[in-house]
Amino acid sequence: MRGGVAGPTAGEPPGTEAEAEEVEESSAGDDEELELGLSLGSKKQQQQQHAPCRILTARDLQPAAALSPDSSVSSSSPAAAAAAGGKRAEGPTATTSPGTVASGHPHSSFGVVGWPPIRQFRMNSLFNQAKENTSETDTKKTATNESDVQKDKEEGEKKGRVAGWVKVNMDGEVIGRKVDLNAHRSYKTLALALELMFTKPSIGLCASHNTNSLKLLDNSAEYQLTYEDRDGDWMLVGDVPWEMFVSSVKRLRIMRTSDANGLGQRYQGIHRTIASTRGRS
Amino acid sequence: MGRGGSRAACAAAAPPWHSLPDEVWEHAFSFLPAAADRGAAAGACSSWLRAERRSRRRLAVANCYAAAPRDAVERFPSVRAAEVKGKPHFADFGLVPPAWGAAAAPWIAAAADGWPLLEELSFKRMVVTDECLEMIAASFRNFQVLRLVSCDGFSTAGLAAIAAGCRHLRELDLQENEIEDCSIHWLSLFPESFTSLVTLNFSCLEGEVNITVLERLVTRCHNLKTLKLNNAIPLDKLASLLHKAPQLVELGTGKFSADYHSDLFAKLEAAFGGCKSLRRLSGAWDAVPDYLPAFYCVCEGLTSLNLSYATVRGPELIKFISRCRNLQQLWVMDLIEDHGLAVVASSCNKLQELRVFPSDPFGAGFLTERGLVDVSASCPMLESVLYFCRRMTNEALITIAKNRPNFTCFRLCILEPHTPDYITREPLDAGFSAIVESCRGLRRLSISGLLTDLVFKSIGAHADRLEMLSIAFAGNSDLGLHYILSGCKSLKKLEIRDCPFGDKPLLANAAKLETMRSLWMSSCLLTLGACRQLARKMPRLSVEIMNDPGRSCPLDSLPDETPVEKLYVYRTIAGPRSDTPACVQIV
Repeated sequence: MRGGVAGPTAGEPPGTEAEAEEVEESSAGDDEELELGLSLGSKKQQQQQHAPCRILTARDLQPAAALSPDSSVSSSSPAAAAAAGGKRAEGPTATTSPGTVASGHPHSSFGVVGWPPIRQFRMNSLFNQAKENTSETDTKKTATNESDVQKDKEEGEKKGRVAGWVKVNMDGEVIGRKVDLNAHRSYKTLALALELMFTKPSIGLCASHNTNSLKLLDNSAEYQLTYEDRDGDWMLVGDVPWEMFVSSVKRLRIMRTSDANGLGQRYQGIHRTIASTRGRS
Repeated sequence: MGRGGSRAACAAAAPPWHSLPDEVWEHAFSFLPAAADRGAAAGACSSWLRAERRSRRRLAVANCYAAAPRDAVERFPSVRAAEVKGKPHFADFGLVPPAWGAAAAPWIAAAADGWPLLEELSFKRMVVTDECLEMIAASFRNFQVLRLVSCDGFSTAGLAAIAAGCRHLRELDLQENEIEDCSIHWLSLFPESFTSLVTLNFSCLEGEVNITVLERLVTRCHNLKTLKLNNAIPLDKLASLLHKAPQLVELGTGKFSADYHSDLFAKLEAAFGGCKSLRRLSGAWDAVPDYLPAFYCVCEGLTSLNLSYATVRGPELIKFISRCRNLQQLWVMDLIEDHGLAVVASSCNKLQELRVFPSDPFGAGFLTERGLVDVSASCPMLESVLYFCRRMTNEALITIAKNRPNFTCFRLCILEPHTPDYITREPLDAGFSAIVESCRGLRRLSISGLLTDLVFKSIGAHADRLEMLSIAFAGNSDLGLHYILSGCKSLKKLEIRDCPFGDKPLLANAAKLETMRSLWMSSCLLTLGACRQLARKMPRLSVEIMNDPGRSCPLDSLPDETPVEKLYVYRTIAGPRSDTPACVQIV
């Protein structure tokens, strides 16, 4: 009963915010969709196997356009409650809404964290398969002529499996990815590739098209690109020369800027504990 | 005992068997392999309890925090094979904080001290470090079997220690682990004199392995029966390996893609032609359809086929599976589509287990209820199903229940939450109710789609043998949880997410939780106050709550009304664990 009483009260403000953000999100979604449509179109022309990627990304946009990362639960709650109410005349709406509102866990761009119930190992495998094709395309795009294409491919093949591939995780995302650093020559192309990989409309809100390629490297953006170096310390990407970065990076994390600023030290501490547990210190 | 004593006094002579020494009982217990039988016999008297404990060879710990490692080792001093499970099942889907716990090190340290003759060790969903593996290699002189499933925390350096140190290793089985590759050629550390390997599975390893070393290893291990390769093994090398190990019973191919060449195809076909004993096949990642015919000569003998990572579709896939007439176990992606499952139904009538995974969890679906209905109608031995699809009807579920009342495991995941019967738009209560009412032997159930409390009334009342239940986005009041906890007599594990279940049924059925192994609830309507009451009421339960790391603060400072985002309750005889990370708090 207490939970029930508290629920509606807690639910109202987020609902209001969600509605406002929903309007913004829809416009942002339109922009992102146009951009991605163009790039995905070009990809599709090159290889048919990209169909899975295209479908995935298109689907990715749809829930994201309607839900904001921070209050997606609240915004989805009214719709879900309304639908439930409509279909279940006997079901009290008040009971459903508090339950949904009560959960404050972050939502991924794919909707609900941990749904559908597919093991992360399998999800990563599926994405890695899709990404291997995307990565090849990225390599080609980076080059300007055939000899460069050939050269990049050879370099990638030589080092790729051992040194070039690093894991990438994004706060709020359940599914990690991998990126081949040998396919890039600068922070700019890396940031762009990661943005395509982890498309989120909320990032689009912070930057116009012209500065899209800089948003992960911009301190004022919502997300900050960080990496763990070989000593186990987490650093901001962009602080050292590219070559030095590539030679010392162990993994990447796209961290919320607020967390990076306020909780960076704490995260390092936690990670050290994990690292020592894993026995790599 | 009292009665025995009294009788002895009256009769002036104890029964002859009463004076038998413990060694005799221990020998007798060695003829009771089933854990349940041993457990029942151990309850007869203290002598039998002692005998059972001292003679027990196999120990399974379903929750690593249910007992203290050193206590378990002390209580069962003769264990030769141990299996320990760690994180909650929902860790597989990212719902459990990564740093939650489940370290394997304490168990290995205790085993090293108390079980020097240990031969087999299995860990699932645990954090296994390189130091753990080094300790294993150094501690057990006759170590033979290492199985790691869904574990993380270790690297190829740890595998190197195992390869170099375990001279009698028979099984190295690595399944769906996160292994860090630090460029150590661990396979080459198996000594040249090492020939005892029967199972080698490194399918989840991401790095490259030395093919030459692998070929030599495979060649000298004449008893190798199971070989599961990772994606770094190219097709032509696969053919070479098969040529050297034609005795294989189980093969995981790793990647199965390459530009088509007729000579490579011929080589593969010849290699498979030599595998007369092959029964289980898995892998075929990213399979190229043109190479599937290379498998045709082994199809007849296959009893198990796992193509759940094979992104191949269309006629080639169906033609391949239709040749596997003796299949008992089939795992596949939804790319097979309904008509493919119709072919399975007509071709594989010995099927016992079917799992169909989504190839694109967030995209358009390829599969409907039709496929599952067809298989249930034509496969009389089918008893286990895991099925992902986008739509379902009550009518289909009722038909499936009528077709296959022998289900022991029924896991249905309709990909979009709250999806109703797509024809009638009604909840799927009637369908799932039919499943639990018809399938009396059901032990595991996962439900999804639009569901009201009525389905839980059926489950609580009819699923008497149900041991594991998974619920998501279902129910409409506390009544749903009450039905489950006050029914389901055999329930051991209950997993609930995003359901409007609150404090009342939890507290009203607190005693039930002590008969269960664990309960997980996330995104429900629980409060901290209820968790406090539960912890006070049932001191042998560990009540853990998890909230966002950014919001954690001392429990004492929070009011009873504080919502609890994630709750994990499990029974333990070890007391509260001491290794909780910041995001986990024990009430």
